[in-house]
This record gives sequence, structure tokens and C-alpha cells, in this order.
Amino acid sequence: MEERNLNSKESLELIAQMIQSTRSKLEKGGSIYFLVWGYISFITTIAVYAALTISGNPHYNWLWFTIPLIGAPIMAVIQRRAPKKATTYIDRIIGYLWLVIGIVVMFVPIVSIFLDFRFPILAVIGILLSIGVTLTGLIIEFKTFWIAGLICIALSFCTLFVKGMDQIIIYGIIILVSMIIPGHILKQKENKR
Amino acid sequence: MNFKELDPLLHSELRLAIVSILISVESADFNFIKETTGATNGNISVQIEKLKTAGYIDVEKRFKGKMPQTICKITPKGVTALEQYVEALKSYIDL
Repeated sequence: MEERNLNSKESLELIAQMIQSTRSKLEKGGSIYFLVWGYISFITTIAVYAALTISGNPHYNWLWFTIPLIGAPIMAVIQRRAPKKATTYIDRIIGYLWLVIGIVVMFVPIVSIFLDFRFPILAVIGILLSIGVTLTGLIIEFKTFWIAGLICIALSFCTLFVKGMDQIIIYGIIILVSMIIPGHILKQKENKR
Repeated sequence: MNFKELDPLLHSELRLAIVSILISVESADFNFIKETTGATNGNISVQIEKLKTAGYIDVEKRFKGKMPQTICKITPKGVTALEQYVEALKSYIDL
């Protein structure tokens, strides 16, 4: 491309082509966040379930905190290796959405330590994550995400009606349905572009 | 037929491409513009400077880690200029 004057038709075509090219370049890369957080959460859920089943020691619930401890540095490395070369308003909205959800999700188990009644941590975290997935799907207009998000909001409410280890099983399903499966579908879609 | 005047600053292939990229995003760095347009560093730098001087774009130079980054954003004046340019084009091709 150089500095030359265009005729009217060429100018309109160029504007459309640049907007299209920019959009398709920016629509790539979102799946990695869902896959990384999804797999870390899923593996941790299995580990906590196994540890609690085998030992019966409730202290193994501290293992949940490995999710941010492993996830946050991995995210930092991913962002450093492939920094975003352009940002859209949608990126910013989704970024803030997940920042707020992430902070609240971190505080839920911390606050619950100080409560003198049994707080439904997994149900609340499940609802928060599912709201995030639903809204992300609606914002980026990706049907799989918002359908998965809505299913998981319902599943999160189901968690309130079961007790003990069954809650962990449902939480594992929520992570699978809301993050891992949609993450893979989005990745497949990104690779096709 | 009443033909509207085309903004000479935008009626150039590379400058129009840069402004079209920036209208689709909140901000874009120099390398993104380079990849999308396929133009050379020197040519892009010259055109970015012209667009900046006209007040159509804002340019911010910063560091990400040790890497220098040039971030470009379209200004409200640039948005208006592109809108008026497209309106003018329509009068030429009878849309």
C-alpha cells in the first residue's frame, strides 16, 4: 500500500476491506482465556474431590486457592508473549466484566471463612462465573457461550439443593459446560477464520 | 448532480486505510497498522504524522516492558472527517 489517490469506488472498497480485516484479526485469541481458567479449575475440582473423598480432611478445601495461584501467572505469561496490538471497546468491556467477577469470586471464599453459618460458596461462584460467560456470549454475539452460561446459572441454583460432595460434582460440570466446551468451540471457530 | 468536495488528506490510499482501521478499534499499535495495511514502516510513519498534524488521530509513544510501542487512536475530529468523506464519496457514485 502506498500514497496514491483512489477513485470513489476504490475508496469505499478500501474502507470496507480495512474494517473487515481489522475485525477478523481481533476476533482471534479469546478462547485461550476460557481454556486456561477452565482446565485449571476443572483439574483443581477433581483434585479437591479426590482428596476429600480419600482423606475426609476438610483442610483440603484450601486447594481451591491454587486456581488463582496457578492461573494468574499463566495469564501474565500469555499476555506478555502475545500482547494485544489493538483493542476495541468490546475488549475493554469484557476485560472489566471479568476483572470485577474475578475479584468477587476471590473474595467469596475468603469472606465465608469468617461466617458462622455454612455459606454456599460453590453455588455463588458458579452463578458469578455463569453470569460472566452469558454476558460475554451476548457481547461478542457467540451463541454457544450465552446458552452454556444460562444452563450453568440453572445448574448453579441446583447446587443449593444438594449437599457435600455432590456440590463439587455439579461445580465440575459447571466448569466443563461453561468454560471448557465453549472454549474449544470458540478455538475451532478462530482456527477456521 | 451536486458533487461534494473530497477531503484531500483522506483521499490517499494509505491514510484512508489507517483511519479506517482506527475507526474500528479503540486503539491500535504501529505494528497492527503495518500488518493490516502491508505498508512499510517509513511510509506509515509519514502518513501517521500527517494525520496527527491534522488532528485526525492521537499518537502516544510508550514502553511495554522494554519494547517501545506507538499507540494510535482516532479523534472525534477524525471520526467526523471520515463520515464526511464517506458522504462525499456517495455523491460521486450515486448511492
